[in-house]
Amino acid sequence: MPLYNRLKEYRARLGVNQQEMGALAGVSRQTISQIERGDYSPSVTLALKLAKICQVSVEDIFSYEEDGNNGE
Amino acid sequence: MENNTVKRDNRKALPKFFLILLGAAVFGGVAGFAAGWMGHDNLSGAVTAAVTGWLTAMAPWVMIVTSAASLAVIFWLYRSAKKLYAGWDGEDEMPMEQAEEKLSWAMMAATVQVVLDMFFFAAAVVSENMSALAGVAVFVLSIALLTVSQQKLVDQLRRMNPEKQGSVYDVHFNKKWLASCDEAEQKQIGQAAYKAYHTVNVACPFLWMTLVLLSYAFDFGLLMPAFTVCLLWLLLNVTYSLEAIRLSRRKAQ
Repeated sequence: MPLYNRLKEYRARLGVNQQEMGALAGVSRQTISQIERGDYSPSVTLALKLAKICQVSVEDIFSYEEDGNNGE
Repeated sequence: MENNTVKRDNRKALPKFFLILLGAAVFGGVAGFAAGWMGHDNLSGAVTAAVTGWLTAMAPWVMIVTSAASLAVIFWLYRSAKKLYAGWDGEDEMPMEQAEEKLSWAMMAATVQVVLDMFFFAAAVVSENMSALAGVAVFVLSIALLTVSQQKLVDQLRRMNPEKQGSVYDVHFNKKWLASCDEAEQKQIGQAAYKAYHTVNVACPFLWMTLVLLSYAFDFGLLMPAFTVCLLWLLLNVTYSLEAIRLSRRKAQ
């Protein structure tokens, strides 16, 4: 998965648990958990929503890196 | 360039495809001959009578035993999920994941038992005696208990996931539940549904072939079973294709 994220870190800064974060973003606790683990890449809409909640830009939370072999 | 790739892929896959066809033809021939040979002696008639007799007589009892076992398992899973949720600190993911998995297993057990009940109900009512009456009574009781247990499971899931909506008693439950699932959950549901679609699509031709072969050995009348399998197969594929067309149209707008 080339998409990395720091959602857990930003969530901790807000002082909310996964369920509360999910409620703020309008998604389930499981989805927040999957995003934090890197098991799920959120849609652009959800990524923007999460960034807005954390009051940072999307790039602060999510970063995309090419795989070593595929990178130009 | 693209044309060459298409041709190369076809050429690569074709020998294997022919080999599978040949294997299926040989197997079908041998199995058909064996089934036909079996149908010519009295053994198949005796087996059919014994199985039918046993099924009709035992159906209510089998329904009682399987329902009791399923309900016990469902209750145990429900209780342990409830306990895990009660002890959740709001941060540790493990207890919630375990609780959700337990509820999923319980839900599956309830669904499997409903299907088993449907089958044994049909087996029981064939007998036209007290066994049929007992079968109906057990069936009604089992379905009622399973429905209540499904509602309990859904209630627990809703307590754990407050955003979820729907009641098992509501005729639009599936629609409401799906609508309350977020993008990641809907993707998961889509993947699981595709797996189910693929499995049934593979199972249908095998089931059809098995029915054809068994009809040579046991004279049960092929038309109705074959019609049922083919109808389900048709329904599956037509629904899938129509929905895929509808979704692609909406996307293009």
